[in-house]
Amino acid sequence: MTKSRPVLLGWDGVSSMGIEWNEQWRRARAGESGIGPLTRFPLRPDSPVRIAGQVNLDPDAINPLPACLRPREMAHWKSPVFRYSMLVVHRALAKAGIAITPELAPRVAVTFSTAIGGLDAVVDADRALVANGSLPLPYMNPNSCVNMIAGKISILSGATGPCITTVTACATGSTSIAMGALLIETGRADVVIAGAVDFPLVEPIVAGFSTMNGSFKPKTDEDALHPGKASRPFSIDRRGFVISEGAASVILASAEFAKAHGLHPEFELAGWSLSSDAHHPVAPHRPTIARCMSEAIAASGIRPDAIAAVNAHASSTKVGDKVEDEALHDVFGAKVPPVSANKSQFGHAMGAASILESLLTLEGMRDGVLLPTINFTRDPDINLDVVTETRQHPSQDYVLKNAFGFGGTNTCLIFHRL
Amino acid sequence: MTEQTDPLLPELARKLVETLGLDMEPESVDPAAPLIGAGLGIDSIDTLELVVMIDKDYGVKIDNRAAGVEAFASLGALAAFIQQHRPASPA
Repeated sequence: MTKSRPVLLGWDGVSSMGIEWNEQWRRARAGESGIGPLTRFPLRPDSPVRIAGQVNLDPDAINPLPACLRPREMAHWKSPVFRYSMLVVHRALAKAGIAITPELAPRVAVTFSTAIGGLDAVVDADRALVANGSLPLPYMNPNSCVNMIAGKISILSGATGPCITTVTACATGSTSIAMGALLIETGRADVVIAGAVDFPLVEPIVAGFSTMNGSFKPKTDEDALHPGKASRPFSIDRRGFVISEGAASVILASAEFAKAHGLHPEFELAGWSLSSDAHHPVAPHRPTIARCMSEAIAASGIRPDAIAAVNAHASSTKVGDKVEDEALHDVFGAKVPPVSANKSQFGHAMGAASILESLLTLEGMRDGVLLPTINFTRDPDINLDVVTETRQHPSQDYVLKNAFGFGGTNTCLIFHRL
Repeated sequence: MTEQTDPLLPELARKLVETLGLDMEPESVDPAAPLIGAGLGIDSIDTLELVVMIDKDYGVKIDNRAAGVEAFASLGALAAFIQQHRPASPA
């Protein structure tokens, strides 16, 4: 295994749990929820979805405001995906301690991606066009161009290496890490700006997740009264995912680059795998999910029993969680490591979910804790050690992160504490 | 002299600053200074956004190069252009 493994240098995120990363981590450890009322658009009386995980990013509250977020810079970039992504990349680069000089720039790649992109810009423009014939603003198309976020990050950072968008629906964030690893492992880049952003709280998208029975449907008065209790992955009363916004970024580098620059990374990506179900547009598929996990473990040069914990995909749907449970048993037999499902707290940030959850995994490995899966009531059909209270778990050398997306795309990552 | 007192000027200055997110107060936009390519840092894409805003808000189309050169010569010129070309009875 002399092939260069990517190391993880610095990261940042914004989510339903907050704008400052340390605060989000503190709240996650405390078992809190980021879910609240959906206020991104006026709700119709019969709107099926009334709660969400919103990012409350007020540029006036960020002091000092990074230059990339100044009103002049953001004037034409109406979709929130640009504000969220520029902020987390700016901060992740600062934390990584890397200066992208003209000499380094060609060796810096961008794999930061999105599943839905700036679709809100299209919806707003279409509504104005239909209602009163108003033509779109010139920047409507650039706002919704799905790889524009990566392009803007390239402009922000000066990175001039490969710049790709790795859309795999709800696995997008993990796939951006895997594709960044591929670029490093094949010598195409020394540094990669990975990550993902999504702003799915757009009326037709929200309603569509409801009509396809994906998102949370309240059943009781209790459900309606307590948004924080709605996201219930692996629980017997799980009723779909709570739709959230979010963005997160992690800076990858080759181990040689880190060493040459005097950096001391705490983590590496030990292995990864991608697989495709070739089965169903939206339903998960046990054999190819299990294979993806097994391949990622094998690529790490370890056996399944070296995995200390699992950060689950945990779609929070009936079928999604059941299939993940079965696939975990296929890989680990009777000894499935303890499982955390961060969507119980953060909701489902679509393409950004798996990158946020990857960062939470790293923080847990660093602090020696497993995050709680809140709102959990045991399902007799699911035979997992679901972590329900923040649990001390000091020796986490290797942790598996799962992510699965529409289109039957699976991405599994193995993080290793150095 | 009429440009200096054009009632449209403060409104246009405010819209210019808001639409383009300029880091300045509307009152400090010099009505005689060139709008594009000079101190304000307004580029061709910004100009496209202004063209759409002017069409939407005032019903005035700037749809050829000559009109663009005339209208965007300065903020004062833009106000005069709008006054000259806006529909007789506003919607």
